[in-house]
Amino acid sequence: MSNSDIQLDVLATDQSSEVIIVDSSFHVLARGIQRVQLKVPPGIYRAKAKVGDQQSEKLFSVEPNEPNGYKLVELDPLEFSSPIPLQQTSTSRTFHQNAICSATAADGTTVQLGRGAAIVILLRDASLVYSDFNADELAAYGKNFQGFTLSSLDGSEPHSLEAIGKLVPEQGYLIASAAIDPGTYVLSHLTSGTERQCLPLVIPPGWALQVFVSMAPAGDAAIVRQADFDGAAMVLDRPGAGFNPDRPDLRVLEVARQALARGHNVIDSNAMAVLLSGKFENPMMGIFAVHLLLLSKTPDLELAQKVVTNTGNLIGASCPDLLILSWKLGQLRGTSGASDSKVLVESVKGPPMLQLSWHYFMEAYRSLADKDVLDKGISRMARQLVSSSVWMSWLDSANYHSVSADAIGHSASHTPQEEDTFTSSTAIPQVLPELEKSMDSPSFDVGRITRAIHRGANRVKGKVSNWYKARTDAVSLDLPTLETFKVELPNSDETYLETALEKAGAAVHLKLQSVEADAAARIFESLVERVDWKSVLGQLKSVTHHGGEPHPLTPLQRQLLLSLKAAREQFEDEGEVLEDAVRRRLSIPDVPLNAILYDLNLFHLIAKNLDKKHSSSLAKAIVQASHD
Amino acid sequence: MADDYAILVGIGKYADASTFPELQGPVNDVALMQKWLIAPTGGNINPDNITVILSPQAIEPETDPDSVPPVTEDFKKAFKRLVRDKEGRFISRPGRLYLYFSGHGFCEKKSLTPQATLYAANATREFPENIFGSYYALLARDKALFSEIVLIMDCCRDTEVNRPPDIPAVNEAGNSAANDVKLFCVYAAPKGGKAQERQIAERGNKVHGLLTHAILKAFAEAKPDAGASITGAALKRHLLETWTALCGGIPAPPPEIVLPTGTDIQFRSENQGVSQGFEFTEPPAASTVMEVFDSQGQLVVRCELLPPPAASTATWNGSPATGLGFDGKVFSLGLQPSYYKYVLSGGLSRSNLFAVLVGGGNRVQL
Repeated sequence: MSNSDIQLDVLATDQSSEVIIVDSSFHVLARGIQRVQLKVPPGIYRAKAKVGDQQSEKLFSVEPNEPNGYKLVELDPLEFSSPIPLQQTSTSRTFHQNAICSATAADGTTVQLGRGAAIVILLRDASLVYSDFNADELAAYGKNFQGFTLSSLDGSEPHSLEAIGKLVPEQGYLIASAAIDPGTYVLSHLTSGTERQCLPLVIPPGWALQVFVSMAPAGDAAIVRQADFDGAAMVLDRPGAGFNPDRPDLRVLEVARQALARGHNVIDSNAMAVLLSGKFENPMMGIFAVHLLLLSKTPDLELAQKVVTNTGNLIGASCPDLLILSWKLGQLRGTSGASDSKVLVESVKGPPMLQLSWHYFMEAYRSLADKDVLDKGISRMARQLVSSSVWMSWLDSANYHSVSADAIGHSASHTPQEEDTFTSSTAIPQVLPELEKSMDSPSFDVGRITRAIHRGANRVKGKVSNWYKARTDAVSLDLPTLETFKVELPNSDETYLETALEKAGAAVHLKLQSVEADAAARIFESLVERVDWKSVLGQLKSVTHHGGEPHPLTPLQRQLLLSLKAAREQFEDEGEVLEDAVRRRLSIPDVPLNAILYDLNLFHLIAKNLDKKHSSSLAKAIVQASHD
Repeated sequence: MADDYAILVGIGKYADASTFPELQGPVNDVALMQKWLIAPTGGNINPDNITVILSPQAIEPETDPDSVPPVTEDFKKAFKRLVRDKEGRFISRPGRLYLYFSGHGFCEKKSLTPQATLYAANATREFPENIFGSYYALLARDKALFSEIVLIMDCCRDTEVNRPPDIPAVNEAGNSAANDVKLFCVYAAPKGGKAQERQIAERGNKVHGLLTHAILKAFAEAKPDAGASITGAALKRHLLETWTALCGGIPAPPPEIVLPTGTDIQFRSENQGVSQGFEFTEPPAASTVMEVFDSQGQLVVRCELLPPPAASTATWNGSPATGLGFDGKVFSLGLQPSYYKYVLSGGLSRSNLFAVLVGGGNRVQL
């Protein structure tokens, strides 16, 4: 910097714009949000503003004789695309704005499905393709909006959006507005014959959730549209507050959502602090903000905690996303421990809205010694997650649940029911009774008590071993040596037995934790060695390729089949299955291990019941099950 | 270079064409890349050191969808052949490894490090078989199989949660020499972004991936750092700053470029500069002088523009005047990519700023 440098001030109209200054050698001199100020020597520069998927540029010169040694450069506003019909976006449509304004107004048309909260869902097509359609084409186009359902989390009380909403195909939208009980709901739509994609909607008491879904072109036909759940936008507002398409915080919300989709934080802490200082009551922004802060290299944890607290004050701290974020921040700040992870997993009974929240939730779950505390409904979702960039989403189909029984020849006794999966947690509750049996006469003889505990532990080990053997046939497990654990015995008479048992039980439990991972690896290896998965996959692909229905497999099952095929190829090439590689393949970050075990068990049972010489019959069995 | 090697993969035809529509670019891209790699002014590689894995011209109707080539195994085998000796042990080579992939692709949503994966030709919506390009590049680095690795992935980077990249089973023991290995990676789009292929007029109207076209154009046009070489950092700056101009009226997300962590990597620069077009909105009736100044205000070239048939001239920085092709409305000047200012005097009198970014880009309107 020299005395001749000029103070440069580059300002973007949009407060959510990223601003970048580049010199004539194409070096980036500075970047910031909405405004960048720096001293530069006279020369020619380029300023860029980026918002969402759009960018504007301006070439400008800085002269040696700028008045007062100061140069101001203002950048034009940008139009990006959004499922929310915001002003100054490329997808803004007045009739969609009118529809959402009417539905969110205090006197808006609302169906009564409950009370205490509200929901507004707008499915809209910003393409204007419908403006040229004749009556027949409009009728066909309108079918794109069929098959959407709002239901409770367990699938009960389904309401068709067509039935509770208003379809206006000539303007490319369907809008549904309802008073509803606070809680977690599912918005779903049919993606194929029986398969539905599900999106969780968390509606806090006293709030209205506005859900905006783009109906995007699908396939070659101009008339076909498909709901873009992953690109949906959600806004929390007060019921009856109306809709203002000029709200600047909604633009920021959209920029934040797009940043989350890309996994990058483009909103710096200062801008975030300004946005969250109480200027806007936008709880969804709070959740986005914390996730974005956590994507930073050095997240401002104090600010993030403040945002979680403030957002919790607005919508209630029991919102799954907030519970999970609070736990994550506690971990990062070192203020929470293992017990907090258990409390979190036990207290979350419904899915979070954001995919990243789920990711952190699984982080908490994996850290637990007792894996049995995961809600069964959530466990099932984990097996059916679909790819998404912002919102959590899963597939559901009645066929998922019919495959297991049909494919193994109705061998119901081997079907892995929810309550009988390959998890050590099933056997763990037996630890304490076995120990009690071994300690038939409470005594203060430490050696005797220790021997009794070891005897009990080994009985548990035997039971676990038999439990697995009964179900895995040739699969053998290396159960941990239990004789080596030590139990510190207390010397208080009153608490002696109880405390000793608790400590011994916990120690055995800890030892057996690895059994689940070991079981998964052993079953996987056994499957690789016994079945030609290349052939199985080839057959499954062939069915779809030749016009058959897609296979009723969950996303996790498909993923496991691919892993099995790759491992099989390596097995055929190298003559062995590398244990490290197996464990890596089974390390699926967002899926609990018992869900993986469940599906591996299913494959194992199917394979066991089929002719091993013709492993491709496994594929035929699965396909047959899908057509039954 | 004798010790340099390359594996080029171009997948344009997929078994599941409804999920992975046919691409015209990948096969053309590989041919273009191969040509540059062999050229003495380009990669200067021995042609025998290049392995090419391509989609066939057509998929036979009765082909088993699971066997539509290239499949993941095709790449794995080529990679293994290159990095292992006869006894199956890894070998370290002193040269550079180019790994190039063109086709449909994705990346893992949760990955904190830049990565991309190419769908294999037998991938389907439900069974997304793939070649994890980034992993192989990292593997080559971590085991110090080459001293330099250049990874180019001209494919989409849709963020996926449950489409896992196919991680090969490899002994994971590293090599302490890995710290000295330079890894330079270019991805066609940012995480979550879509790559594009287009018909490129200056490449004989063939369809190419935008990234492949841009990289090879940058090697030709970018200003060298010193002599005839350009660093990875300079190449990155050039690609990012010229990207919008290269895309023209149809925007595309910019590439993501990851530089080596230590000493930068060097490429040959052809240093051709950019042939920048200029166009008068109204042809000057009389002799007009156009002076072009660089960002520091230094005169670069002085043009005397005369209505045809009189001969126009350009005088470059003190050199003798040379003839300038001017049809009364349009002419071109060879300039280094940068920002400039023109000043018109004589028949017309005005000035403005302009950017020289890519050859074949928009003409500067005078």
